[in-house]
Amino acid sequence: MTHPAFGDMTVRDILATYSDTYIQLQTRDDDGFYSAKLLGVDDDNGLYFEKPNGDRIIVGMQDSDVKYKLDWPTLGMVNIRDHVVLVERIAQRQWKKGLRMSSLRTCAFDTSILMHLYETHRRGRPDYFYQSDLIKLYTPEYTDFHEALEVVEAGEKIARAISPLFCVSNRWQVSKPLLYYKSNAIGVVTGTSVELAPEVSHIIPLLKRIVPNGYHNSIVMATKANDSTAG
Amino acid sequence: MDTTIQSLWRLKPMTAPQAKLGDLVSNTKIGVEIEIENMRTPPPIPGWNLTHDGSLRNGGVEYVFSSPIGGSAACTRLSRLEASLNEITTKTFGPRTSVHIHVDVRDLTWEQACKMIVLYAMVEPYLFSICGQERDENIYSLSLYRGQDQVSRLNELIQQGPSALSSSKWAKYSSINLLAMPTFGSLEFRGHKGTCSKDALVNWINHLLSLKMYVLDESKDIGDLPQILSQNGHHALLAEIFGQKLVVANLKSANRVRSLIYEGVWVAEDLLYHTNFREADKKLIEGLGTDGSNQMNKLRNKLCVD
Repeated sequence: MTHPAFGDMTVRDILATYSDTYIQLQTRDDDGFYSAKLLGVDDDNGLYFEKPNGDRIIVGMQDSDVKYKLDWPTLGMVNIRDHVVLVERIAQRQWKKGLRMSSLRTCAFDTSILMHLYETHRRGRPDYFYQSDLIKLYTPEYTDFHEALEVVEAGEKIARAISPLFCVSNRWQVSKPLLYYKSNAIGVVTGTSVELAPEVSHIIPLLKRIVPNGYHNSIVMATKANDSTAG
Repeated sequence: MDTTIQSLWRLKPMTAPQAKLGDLVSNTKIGVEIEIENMRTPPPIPGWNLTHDGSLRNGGVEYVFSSPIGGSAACTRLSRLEASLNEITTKTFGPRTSVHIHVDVRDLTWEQACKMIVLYAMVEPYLFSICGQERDENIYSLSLYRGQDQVSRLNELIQQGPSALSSSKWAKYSSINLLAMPTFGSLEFRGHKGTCSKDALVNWINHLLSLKMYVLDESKDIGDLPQILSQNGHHALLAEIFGQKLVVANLKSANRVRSLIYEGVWVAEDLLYHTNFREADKKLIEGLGTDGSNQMNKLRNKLCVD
């Protein structure tokens, strides 16, 4: 008999499926759900978890006061330190269902800049997405559109995510910051506005969903004459 | 390129289609695979082969169409399966079980097959609402809109063409398995939860057959669909693809994904406009030149202060 959240899974099933992966749980003493890594099961059928701060807790497998969320978070762009990582999930043969690094494909904005800063200034580490960053996927914080334009252009951040699909990022050997949709640059940042490439005009409605009303005129559609505002 | 999937991979030529449709909306041939657990003494069923699957537990078996077939003949097989399995009270359709449907696409060109995949991506949240919403993250049939990595891979495949389709480029464990194309000439849809209900299966199969019918209808254009969604809503979009009758019969499923359907459309637009994205990226970078020293100096000054 296990917790209802695990359905008809046996202890062995739970270990095979979720050990060394992140899931979310909430105990009686917690204000809300938090993510933790399932480490194993003790002799008394207690589930061992490691919290993000390194603390370890044991919860009874049948404890009905504990709630679990086994779903994955919404993936996409996520702010990590001074840069952004685009996180996607890989379909592959596996038994593990929980969130873990080997099920993810990641792309950093901008890898070359991160490498350069590390090599020339020993800043940070060349790895751009650590195991400990996984939990940020559950509670991603997105930067306000204009703040992102400002801090990236000013060099205060390498990149900032403004939604799971968009980020503003500097790019190696490119003179101005760019607006990205997933892994493709779609516009150039100039001051407080973005000039979108005409090839991707279909993206405007999607972009306007995340840019506050009143700021839509800061999204400009580039034409040959460079004179039209995105409608 | 007008070459069909059949000639591209030198597959067996198509035989004459079934004359009668039965409960199905077209006579395209299909293959059906149904996984069941707790089947200690699985009975033989005419028209079905019995196999064992390592991913199943407790006497898990898989019933597979003995050959691809369409129309009323396929319906007869589904009826026989349901009747036979209804007598087995121990059988279970747990979370490990699923239904896989192969839709014959040997008569489509590569471009048409790609369109069918894009169309599937567009309505995938709705399709998962029908076949089991909880399965959109299933490790054996990961949906495109939740996985996203497959979308990047699809973009590459569409760009590179059919010769690039291999197990290193595509994973079988996606909700749509493209690797069945070179092997069987079919697209395999792996999303549906385990069931032997003929009604549920016919409903699911009709949705999949409708995707192919849409692609074959030259009067229709996938590119128009996002606009139909934004102007007339999700019912209009779904009715345009699946027909009013099918959508009305699945109204609850449609309404459950009123918002989620946009995620499917975004995935489809990524695929439809992949060339535009590439071009935009290339042009922007070329237009800005290669002198990034100004921005790099700002970053060094702000981020690398000891």
